[in-house]
Amino acid sequence: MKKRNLILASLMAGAFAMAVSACSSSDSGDSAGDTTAAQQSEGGESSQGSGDKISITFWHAMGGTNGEAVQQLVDDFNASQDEIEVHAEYQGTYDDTITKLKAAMQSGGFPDVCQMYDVGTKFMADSGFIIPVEDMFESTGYDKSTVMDVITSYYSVDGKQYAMPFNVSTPMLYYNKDVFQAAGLDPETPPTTYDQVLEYAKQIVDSKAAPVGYSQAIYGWFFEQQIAGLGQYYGNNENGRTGSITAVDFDQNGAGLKVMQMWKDMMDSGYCANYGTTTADTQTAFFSGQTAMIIESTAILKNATDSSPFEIGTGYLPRIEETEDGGVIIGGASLWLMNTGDQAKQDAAWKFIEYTTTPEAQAKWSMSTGYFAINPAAYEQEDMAAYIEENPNFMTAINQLEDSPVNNYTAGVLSGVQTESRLIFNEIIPQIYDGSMTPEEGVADLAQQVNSAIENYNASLQ
Amino acid sequence: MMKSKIFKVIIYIVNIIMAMIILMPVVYCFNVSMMDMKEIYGGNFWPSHFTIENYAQALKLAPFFTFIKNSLIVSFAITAAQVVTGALAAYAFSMLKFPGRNVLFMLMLATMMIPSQAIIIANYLTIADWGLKDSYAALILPNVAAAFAVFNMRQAFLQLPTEIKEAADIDGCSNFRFFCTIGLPLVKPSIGALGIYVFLQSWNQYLWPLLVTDTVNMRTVQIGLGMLQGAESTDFRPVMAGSMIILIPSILAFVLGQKQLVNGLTAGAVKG
Amino acid sequence: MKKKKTLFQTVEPYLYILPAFIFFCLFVFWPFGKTLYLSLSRTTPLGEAAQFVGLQNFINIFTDKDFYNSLLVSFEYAIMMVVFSIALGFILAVVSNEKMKGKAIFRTIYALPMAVSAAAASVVFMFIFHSSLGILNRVLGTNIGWLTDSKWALISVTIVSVWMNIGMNYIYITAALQGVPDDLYESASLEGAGFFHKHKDVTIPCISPTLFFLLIINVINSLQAYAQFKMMTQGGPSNSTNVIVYEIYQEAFINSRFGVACAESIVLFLILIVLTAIQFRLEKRVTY
Repeated sequence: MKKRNLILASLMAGAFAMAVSACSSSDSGDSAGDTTAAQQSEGGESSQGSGDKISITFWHAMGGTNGEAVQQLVDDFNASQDEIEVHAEYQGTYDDTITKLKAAMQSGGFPDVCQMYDVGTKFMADSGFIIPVEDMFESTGYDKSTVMDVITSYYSVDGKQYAMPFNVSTPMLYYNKDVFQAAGLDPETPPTTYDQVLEYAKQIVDSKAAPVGYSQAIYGWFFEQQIAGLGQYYGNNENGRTGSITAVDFDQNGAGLKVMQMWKDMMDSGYCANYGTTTADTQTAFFSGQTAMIIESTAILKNATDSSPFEIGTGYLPRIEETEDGGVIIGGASLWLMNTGDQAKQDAAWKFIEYTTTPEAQAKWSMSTGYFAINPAAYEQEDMAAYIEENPNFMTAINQLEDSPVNNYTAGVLSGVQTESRLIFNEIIPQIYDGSMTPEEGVADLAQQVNSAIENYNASLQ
Repeated sequence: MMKSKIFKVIIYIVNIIMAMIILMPVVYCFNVSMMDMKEIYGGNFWPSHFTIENYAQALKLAPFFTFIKNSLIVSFAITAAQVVTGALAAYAFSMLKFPGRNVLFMLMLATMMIPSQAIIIANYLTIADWGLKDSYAALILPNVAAAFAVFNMRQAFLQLPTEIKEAADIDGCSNFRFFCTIGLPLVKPSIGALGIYVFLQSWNQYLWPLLVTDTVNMRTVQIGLGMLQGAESTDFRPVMAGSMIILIPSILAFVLGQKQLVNGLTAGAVKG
Repeated sequence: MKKKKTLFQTVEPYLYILPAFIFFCLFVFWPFGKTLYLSLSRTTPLGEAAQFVGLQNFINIFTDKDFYNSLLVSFEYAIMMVVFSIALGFILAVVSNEKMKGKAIFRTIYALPMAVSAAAASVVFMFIFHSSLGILNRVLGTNIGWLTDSKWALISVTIVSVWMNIGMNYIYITAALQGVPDDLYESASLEGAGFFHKHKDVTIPCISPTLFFLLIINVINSLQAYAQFKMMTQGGPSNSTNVIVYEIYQEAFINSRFGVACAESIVLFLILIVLTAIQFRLEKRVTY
């Protein structure tokens, strides 16, 4: 009896120990296997001298086909020289990546290069864990004019460039050419102002060419765009470009109300529909022929042209009023040089970042993702020129960007709470649409909530 | 007799209707994985043809076989660990008497009330401190014990008639021997249910594996699904194809667990 | 009868709970201690404590009407979830427990939703719910913005969540049904009890520990659900689906206000403790 007891006891203990040791042993065993596997897959061909190669890590948030393009870019860089080995590591969505980066900043072990979305710019600049890329320009002889000013301005504070733009997009108008035809509209002349959009929408719905004339997702980015289009600031201190934002400006300069009133009028007209905050839902409505015009990022252009059942037309982002100073703001994400304290790695990381701006790399990146090439020389590359020839819609996007003036309106808002501001915006807009709030109340409420978030953020930095 | 036949038919019909409703979203997921873009935007329910194109695309974008291997290792380890730690603790909480039993049980139960968002970063820092980032241990250790498992097993032990334990005590059967030879076999259906549940819970984890692993070789299946989704626009077809791919191992887990679930307890034999 | 216990006998029960408690201490109690500390601090954008502020975070959340709204939304959601997912799980378990061909297939189907991740389920249901394209509006002949109308959004997300959760309840009730002695059904049949009476008088009392377990688990799980909200509505439209855990997630990871998020977590923790304690009281009254 006692003996059996013992056997059972040791069995149970054994099972438990196994469960525990299984993890630790497989851990050591596998991580050894992993490094070799990683080296084989990523640097297989250049096996000679891989021992003295500088290995750097690059965190990114690109899934889907864009993730493939990132890997391609990294592979090309690794093949282009034999001193540096870049390891691209996908870290989830933009939100996941910033969460993870914050955790890694606390524990150490963050990457050498990190991709960060536009709205994370202020956080990164304030974090103390980065090296502004402009610090590398002089010593490496990098020419700042390589990248278009209208793009770098977003990532600049007081004229100093902090990060290197990576995937860049702007919003633009997409419309269904077949529906335009059916409604008796000229498929080659898209509307340029919201008043025109409404006119077109009316004609489309009245002629029964499509059930809905125009839609746009509830998305704070579009609000910021329209304020910039009006040639006004979203936040004070010139959108945070001459000093940290301490309060919003759109409630003071009247731009916020103009935008919200316009949108409210459109929704009330009966020719437009709202598909909520998920941009994919608005896209679905467009591609299914439900709605004839939408506003979307230029980044979906490639996918859209590839998969749309009808011919797509594109136009500039419709404006509320034509203004001289107004234009579009870029969105997307940039590459940050992290301050790891290891000089050799930082230099290597910068070399990689510099590589991403070359015309060849940019042309390839732009063609495989649909994002802009940030280096205008890329458009002169043979294959890129041919590509644009084939996809005239791409030209709309490029022209729109080039037509935007470079100033602090179009540089966009630099704020540590912009993600939150957009979420607050998401809560308020549906209430304006359904009439439970007037546009005036909406603007006041948005301003008040964003201001308190800004106050809180600024206090947390002290 | 007639009545029982009609009854059987009714039960059948109810089952079939229910099964169709429950299954519909899964079927739709499969259908979308077969479609081309135009069909999706046409709002079709059934695909016009069968294609593996989206599956090929999913496998190209994310190395699902590696991810499935990792998820299997991690999920099985977590399941085994939670069943063992859960059954042991539950046994003490239900069959043994000791001072502080209720307080300790409540304390343990309280761990379920803590939102994981509140402790995930602290746990990340612990794992990083121990130098375990990017390892199976990092994925498994925080999940070795769960109040859910303890609570679940406790309820199972409580469902057993108290006379069994009393009789065993009189026979001089030690506590541990009773646990292994009598207690555990009697709660096999609950172990099966718990096993399935824990397995699928760990299979479906996203944020924790994303935080503690860095390299693609250590990643798990749900992150693989994330890799199929773009930032600005998403083609849903590979996502659906990926979902179908990672559904297969979970169905297998269920089939395995179901055996435990149904043929464990022969109530008559024990109680009679 | 009472003998003096040996040292081993005194210590033995604790040995059984030791493994679980070691891990609870490391991965729950210790980080929760940190959470407590952070809830009393103002935090940096990184999530580190910057300054001790006493109960300021708690004062802030209790003077914020959005927080009360989140609590309300969470409770509405939890009540709908608990009622529908346990009831449906029970019905499915009972109808698939009858002797028939193809039983194993039905069982697998009913448990299948558990295996579908929140991400995949959300995407599928977003298609189904799409106001112009979705099958739901087409089948019903309606034109409802299931996820974009604040009257419907919470109900729609609840439908998805019930679908996702039904498998768990189904499996546990099925497991419990195996433990109901056949002779009880036989004697009930002899007494002339029909299908419904049999289950009301025999099944439910016999599996009450499991039902009690599921009640507690479902309350906790539904008050902690957030993935489907993140995927489908992001708390909107107009906060109509902003459940408390999504609010916590947003404060911590999007708005970088860790201190506030921790304070909210502690409030949720206390609410759950009270709810669970009440349920345990009820259990004692019902089963004994």
